[in-house]
Amino acid sequence: MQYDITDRWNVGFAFVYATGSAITLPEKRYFDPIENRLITVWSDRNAYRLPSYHRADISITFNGKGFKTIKNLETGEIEKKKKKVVSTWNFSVFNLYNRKNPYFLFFDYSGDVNSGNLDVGANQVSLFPILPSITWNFKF
Amino acid sequence: MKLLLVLLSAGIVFGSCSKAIEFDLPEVEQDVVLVGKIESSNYPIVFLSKTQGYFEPTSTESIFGTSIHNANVTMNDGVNEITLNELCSADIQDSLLPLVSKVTGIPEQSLQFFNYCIYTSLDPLAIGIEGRTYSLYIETETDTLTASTILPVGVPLVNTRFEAFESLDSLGFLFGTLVDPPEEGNGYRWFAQRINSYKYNYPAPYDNVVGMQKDAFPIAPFGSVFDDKFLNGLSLEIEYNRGEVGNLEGPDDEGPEEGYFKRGDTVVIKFTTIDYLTYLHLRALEDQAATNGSPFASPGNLPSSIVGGIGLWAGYGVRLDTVICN
Repeated sequence: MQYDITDRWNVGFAFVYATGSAITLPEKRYFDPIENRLITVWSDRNAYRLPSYHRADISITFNGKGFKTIKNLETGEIEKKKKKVVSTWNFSVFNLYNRKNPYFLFFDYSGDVNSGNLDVGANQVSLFPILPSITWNFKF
Repeated sequence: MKLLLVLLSAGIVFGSCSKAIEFDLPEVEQDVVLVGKIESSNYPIVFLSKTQGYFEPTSTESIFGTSIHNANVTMNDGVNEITLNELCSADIQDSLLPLVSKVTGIPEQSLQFFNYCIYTSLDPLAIGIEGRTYSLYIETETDTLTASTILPVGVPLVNTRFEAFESLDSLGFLFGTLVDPPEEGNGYRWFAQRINSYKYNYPAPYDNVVGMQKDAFPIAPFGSVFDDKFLNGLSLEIEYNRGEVGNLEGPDDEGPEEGYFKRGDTVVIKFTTIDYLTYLHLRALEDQAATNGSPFASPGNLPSSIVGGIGLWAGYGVRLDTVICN
């Protein structure tokens, strides 16, 4: 959504939602005493879904004047002259509420059964946290 | 380009947010697991257990609580049918544990502290004979499993030797030459066991190892399994580093000696021949172990030829060779 507050100020808001990607997860495990290893038994391919993906973005844009006012020295009148370079400022926040959307998961185990310190775990990697940004654009 | 992609991916992984998470997976039906082997001139060993949920407790009680007891296990080699009886380490005299450790590949201390239960037979007719097909028929309280494996004729290595690296003086790898038979579908697995003793101690907690045999049983390093797809009927020189027992480091498995054999070691190379199905399982097992914890690992179950369950029933045709590293 975008809304012009004035001819120079503009605000925008975006909300993105997507169903989580399909994923294959480790469902079961067993210990192989001959190999001394924990063996992972995976689910059917893509049997599960990651949590859904959603984020909100906002932006505020300030448009610079496209012209400047000058005084005509001959006539004494105030004239508008088009600027050669017109710029805008944009202030935006990506992922406004800092949601840790899962990009992918990975799994591992550490330790050893015989030492009594076996541990299994799952880890989630997310890409982008809350990202404020300031952008200056110009055109000529 | 490939390296650039890997670096870029790694940059994304390490530069982004990573956190440990917990799962609440739905209950699934558990599988019966058969893990067993029969080797040339050795008794069969069978472990029976059940799988458990991946995120269930990882205490030793939880792991050992999955063992299946009182199953009916029979083995048929085409000539004899033999019953395999359950034998638990808690019932074995301490003086016999080193022998059990050598046969099973389970550390002696583990056999002492934890109650490992195997199905086996000490009947001489149960000893593995090369060329035979060994079938198992198993009945538990709720399940029935069958499995079959070939115990292939062992293919020996020739010209086995130790070679130290010039830059490392006394450390090196073991070498040997394999002459692959002409028939396709042979698989191989390499093990090595140092049967000499430690002559000095290492930093704590290994500060009391003098006199202890370096390896209690043969150990297979990563990459120990291969087949003859690209070398059928040909000769190949192979070299191997020193392996570690999975996730269980020994006194010299950290530091400069990690992965190397040393001058003065006496090493028994156990070179085994396996059938193709066993090769597929073990190769997938090594892949899974090598990629444990990697964000780029692909999910893949270990191929299994067991009917009614999962796991591996493997036949190993064994050839032994002793190398003195000097």
